[in-house]
Amino acid sequence: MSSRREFLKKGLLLAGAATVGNSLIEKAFANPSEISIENYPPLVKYPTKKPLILHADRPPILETPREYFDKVITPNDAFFVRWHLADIPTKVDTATWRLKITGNVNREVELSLDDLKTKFEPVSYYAVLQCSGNGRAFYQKQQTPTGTQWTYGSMGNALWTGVRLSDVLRYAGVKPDSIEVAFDGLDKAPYPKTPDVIRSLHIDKCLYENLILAYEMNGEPLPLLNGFPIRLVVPGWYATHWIKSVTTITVLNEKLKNFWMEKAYHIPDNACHCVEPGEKPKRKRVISFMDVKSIIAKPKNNTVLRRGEVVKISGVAFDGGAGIKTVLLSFDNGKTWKPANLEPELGRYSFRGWFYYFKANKTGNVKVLAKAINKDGIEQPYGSGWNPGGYMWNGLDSITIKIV
Amino acid sequence: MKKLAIFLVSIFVINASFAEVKEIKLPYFNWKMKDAPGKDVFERNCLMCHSPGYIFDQSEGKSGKHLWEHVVHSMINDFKAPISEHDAKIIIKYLKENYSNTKKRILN
Repeated sequence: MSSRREFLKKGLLLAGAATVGNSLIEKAFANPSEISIENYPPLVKYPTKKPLILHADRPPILETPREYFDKVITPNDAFFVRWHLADIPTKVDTATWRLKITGNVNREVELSLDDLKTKFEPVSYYAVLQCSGNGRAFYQKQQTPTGTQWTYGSMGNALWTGVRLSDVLRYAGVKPDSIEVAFDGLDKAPYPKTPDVIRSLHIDKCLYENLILAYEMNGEPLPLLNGFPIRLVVPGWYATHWIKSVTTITVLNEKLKNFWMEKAYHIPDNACHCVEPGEKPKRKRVISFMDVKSIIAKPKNNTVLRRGEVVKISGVAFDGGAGIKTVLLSFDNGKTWKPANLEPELGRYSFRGWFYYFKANKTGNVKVLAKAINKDGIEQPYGSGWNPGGYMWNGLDSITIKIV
Repeated sequence: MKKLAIFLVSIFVINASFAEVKEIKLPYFNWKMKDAPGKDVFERNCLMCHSPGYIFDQSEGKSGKHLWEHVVHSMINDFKAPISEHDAKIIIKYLKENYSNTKKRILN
């Protein structure tokens, strides 16, 4: 009896300690009492999230700190958040939530989350979700484009699990003259005349490619902030196409015309998708697949090492779906390049982890440059060509290591 | 009896896994915009749809001339913000005078 009592007492003590521990951790991080231009952008804590970089709170725009990219899989609680309209879904009850497939279909269909999970074959793959404007802040060397000044972290890589979009469309029956499919989510603008975020994709992409409606992210339901209960996954393409909290899928026999399809997220329609800083492109097109890119996650910029010390340099590389062939590092401003070690491949749409053990041989500053090359042989460029939206930044990433 | 209990528990578990309610409470942040003439007009017209973070990420000068004219008119034309021309002028002046080259983002 006494041993059991002892055991219970210990258990309670442990439980108590755990509670105190958690609240101490919670208390250790406090949101700033005030945000002004002086402390902007601050690190803040949202429910279900680790401290992230706050660009805005209405709607929430939160960036993942650079150091998380030393891992190939981005944890859900560190995954970046970006909404366009301030009335975002903060409560979803899957007992009443339905996905509607409507428009140019043989029969209009309403599916519960349960229907999606039981009526269709589940599929999973790793894919990088990256905002079109990730790295926009680095264009400031040329001219700052308007929009959220993201640096590294409006991207992440997750294992997405869901159902094939093509299966769901065929379940409703797509009529032969269909040309596009439009996606609408639960988010709304506070002012009713503001154009709702509705985006469309070509019917062939929806029927014959590998898009999914994901209900899981890294084996868990999606966080509300990332699009619970389902989100469209368009592997290899920028995040603007990955509509969150999808509720209505409309098959169309004409092109969708709205602000989001005709004006927003357009890039210059030329090979470099760039123009001279400040210039307006003559022809534009909707942004689509991601360019080859790599990010150095660790060590921190301006890390100080003693001569003879060894440091692990690590990061991730990815592209729009060819897959990563090589990641090269330079310690002499690009004169010579050394191959980094690659981690196992998790699929052609995934981050590819890389690392390199660097020995600090000489005192002084060493600038480390990282360059990814994809399986089509396309190399990451030294800089990225400017465009008015500040999209698709993929210039070489660098850090400085100080050796004393 | 035991079997029935297990059966009931399993039904409960299955049902519980089928319906899920997710809810979060978004945190509140206290944004401090510069006190200057026009601040009230800015707050009245702009903050209904977005937070001041949208201002802090931009700066006239580095984004070229007439950034704030461009931004405010885009809000009116693209996002259909119900801002009068009279108010738009005051907002542009307030942003120009207080949020131009105020901040150099340090990038590493």
